[in-house]
Amino acid sequence: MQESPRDKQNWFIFTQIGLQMALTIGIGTWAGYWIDGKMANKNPIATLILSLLSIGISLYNVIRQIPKN
Amino acid sequence: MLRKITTKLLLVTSLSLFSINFLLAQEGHEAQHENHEASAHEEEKFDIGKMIMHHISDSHEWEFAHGLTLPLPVILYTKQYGIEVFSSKRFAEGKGVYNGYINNHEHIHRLNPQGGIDEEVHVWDLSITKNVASMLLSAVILIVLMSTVAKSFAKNRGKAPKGIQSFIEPIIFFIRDEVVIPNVGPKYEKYLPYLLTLFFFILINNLLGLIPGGANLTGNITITLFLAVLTFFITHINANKHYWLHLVKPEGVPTLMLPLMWVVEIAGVFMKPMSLTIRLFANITAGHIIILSLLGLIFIFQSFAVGGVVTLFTLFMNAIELLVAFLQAFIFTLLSSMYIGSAIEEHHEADHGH
Repeated sequence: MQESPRDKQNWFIFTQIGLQMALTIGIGTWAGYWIDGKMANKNPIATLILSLLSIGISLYNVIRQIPKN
Repeated sequence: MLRKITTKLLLVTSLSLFSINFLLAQEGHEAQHENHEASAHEEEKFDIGKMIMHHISDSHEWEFAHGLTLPLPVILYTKQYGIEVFSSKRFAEGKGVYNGYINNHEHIHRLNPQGGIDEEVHVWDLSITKNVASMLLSAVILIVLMSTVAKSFAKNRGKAPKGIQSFIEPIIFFIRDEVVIPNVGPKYEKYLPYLLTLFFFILINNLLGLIPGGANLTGNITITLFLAVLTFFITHINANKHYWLHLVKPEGVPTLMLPLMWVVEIAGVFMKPMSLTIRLFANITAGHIIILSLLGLIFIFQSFAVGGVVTLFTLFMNAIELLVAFLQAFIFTLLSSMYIGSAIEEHHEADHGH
């Protein structure tokens, strides 16, 4: 089967994960910060919600990319 | 008991060593800071940050060395004044001002009668800049190189490769056999031309960027973003039913959770081209900055000893950059083929590899 070379290179995807996590969290937090600036919020609610949400999303993406075995 | 004492002793020693280290580092830092301030007061002759930014960013003329500049065409379009074409030499002659246009740090604006920047007029800058010129050069190189290889491949079919073909042909076959076929799967032939072009385009431009006086094309985020967007579109235009179904309705997820999953999946989809973009851009730009700052040390210290050491270091870094040039082209191609492969694969195995 052609699955064996694929599995061999599967580790490679993990070198991606760090950058993807950092980007997701960074962009999420930046978006929240931007929204807070636009809406002139007194408390940084959007920053809080979006940064935590983006952390969750990035964690989910990591877990999803791990092979199930 | 003895062990306990030894442990404590070790702990104390290590802590004190650590703090001494820290103290020394801080003192050194302060000294350096003072030095820096003193020299900044004395003279403002050499600004390393400015030099580096000048080298890694795009410009309207191609400066190979001081005094050796290739003027490039400037093409401007404004709604009010129409198309305007002139050489970038005019800007150099007029100290950045020509015919009512001002070149303000490589951003061209229209001047108003008072001599200030006219914000009303939006200037579309379609100039052949340094990066565009370098890209055209790389395109010519690629076309000549690849047609030569193709011709000699057709001529020497079944025989040993000859000339430049013997260098390029193994790379092409390596990309096809080790990168594209295992990752894209049996339908690889449709995507092979794109992936090979991607590899050689990035490779040639990385290498051109390493030549002194070359343009930093693959260290320009617009170029890398465009390449990643191409991969993104090719992946999603060719994606099959399973891929889309997986995005819209992952298996084993309760209906109530679906909207949240869409947010997560869409974020994941867009993060892939983003990380491709940032990786290539950051690697190449960082390499250039390291080499330039090493060379900048010569101008800061102005001593032969530093010059000798820096030359060795720069040589070493250049060798590493050669490796990085190949590696980044390879990684970009490998990840692109992985994304395409994960979008077109038939659904016979459990979810992994995307």
